[in-house]
Amino acid sequence: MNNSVKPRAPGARFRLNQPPVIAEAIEGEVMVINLDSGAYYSVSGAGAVVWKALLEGATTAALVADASSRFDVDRAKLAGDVDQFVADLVTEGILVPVDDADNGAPTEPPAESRGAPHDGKVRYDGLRFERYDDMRALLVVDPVHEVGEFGWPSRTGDDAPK
Amino acid sequence: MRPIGTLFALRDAFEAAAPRLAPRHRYRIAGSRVGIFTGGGAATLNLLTAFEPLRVNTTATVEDDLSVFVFDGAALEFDPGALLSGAAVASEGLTAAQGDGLQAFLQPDIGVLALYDDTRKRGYIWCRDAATLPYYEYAAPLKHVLQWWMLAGGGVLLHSAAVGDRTGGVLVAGPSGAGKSSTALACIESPLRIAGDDYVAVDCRPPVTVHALYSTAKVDRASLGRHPSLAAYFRNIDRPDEKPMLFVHQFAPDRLLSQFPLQALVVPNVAGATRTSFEPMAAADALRAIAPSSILLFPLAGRIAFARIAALCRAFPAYRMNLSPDAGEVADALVRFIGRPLDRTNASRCA
Repeated sequence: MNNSVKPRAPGARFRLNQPPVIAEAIEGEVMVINLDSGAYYSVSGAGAVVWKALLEGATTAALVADASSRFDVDRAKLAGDVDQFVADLVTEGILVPVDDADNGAPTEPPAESRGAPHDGKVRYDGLRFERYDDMRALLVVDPVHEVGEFGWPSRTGDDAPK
Repeated sequence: MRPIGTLFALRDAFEAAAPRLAPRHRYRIAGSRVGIFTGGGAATLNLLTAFEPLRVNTTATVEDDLSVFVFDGAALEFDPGALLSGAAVASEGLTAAQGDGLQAFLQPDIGVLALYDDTRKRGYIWCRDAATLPYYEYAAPLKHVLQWWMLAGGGVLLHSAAVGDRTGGVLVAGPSGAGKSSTALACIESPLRIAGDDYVAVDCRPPVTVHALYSTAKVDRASLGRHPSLAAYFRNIDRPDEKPMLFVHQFAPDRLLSQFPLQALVVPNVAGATRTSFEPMAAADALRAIAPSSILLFPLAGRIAFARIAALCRAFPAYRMNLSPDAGEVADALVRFIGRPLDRTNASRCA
């Protein structure tokens, strides 16, 4: 991961790097698969909340305002964590910046996710994602499977089942 | 980047050659009429062995819901592989391309091209030389065409085993080596029946239904000793670099099941436990265990397949099955597990 992160413009917005990256949210977690690399990721806890806001088009400034009202965390620390989190996701090729010149003016996040106060703050456990590389062999060696299970390299012609 | 013109040209070339293929073989796959036409003699015909339990004997002139044309290279006067790889994106020698309802996947190493036209519901398989296909192509033939067709129709092909009875059953899913095949084969002498050991189709429209595709079963060579009664049926036991493989219908056709309503998701875990046990699993953990191999094995299936698998994980209870090494004990545990009262209302929550 990046050790030093340049703070991003507060108005920066991001989108999923489709088509190679796909994501599904499930029970408070987000699972992400990079179809190009074969790596997959899990985003949970506060990271999943920030992820949702990012993909809904929130600017980093707006989502910091929102998340700092939900989580028991210092706003400045959260802003730094968001910058690092976004930078790491961009480095992984999961998120790409949205060019507002191509997409009209920035849109505000939905009213319910703006920085309105929330009842009781949730414990903040940092913004992280887990990366899993155990499936990459499927792509690197043979995207059509049969790697560990069948043994690679593939047969030469004379011993295929008849 | 997207050689649509090339794909249309390929399709038209296949269509022009299709009348030279032998009369169709007819199957009932995932509840639909599927006709498969082959050319090239015994080698391409052997590709159909895994579908044998789903064969329908009829002379009725009904149109198929899916038609698949299987060409052996020698029967064509053009090389589809050269045509596609010259135009499309190559990744480690593999090429996938799509657009305008056409999807294609070329595996130059084994000399196989799959092309699917969803508008016409027709698939085309070209084998450079069907007689030299690796054995795993005989284990799970036509799977890319079947995946694209299922995705277009509200279903998905899963990298999963499936066992149950007519009233219901479970998907046994997870990465390679997790114990899918062993679990399926463990059931062969139990009251449960097998819908698949490595790939099955799931119709995600309610009620969510698991459909058999192949009668194939394979085991790791190291696990052969767990299935002494099956030793005589493995067809490639003398080929040490192949995974021993058999076709269940050739010796135990009554142990196969063509479809059942889905009850639960099971993720096997080779635990070496004394007794097989089932632990409830969070939906997110189940998705992480089930989705990656199914998604990454099927080019051009990713987004829709992922959404369907996630929907299954949200709708159905998931369990980690800690396996004992005793096949009979595993089967008994699954019989008890599947036989217990389950929340069958789950089936209406998916899709």
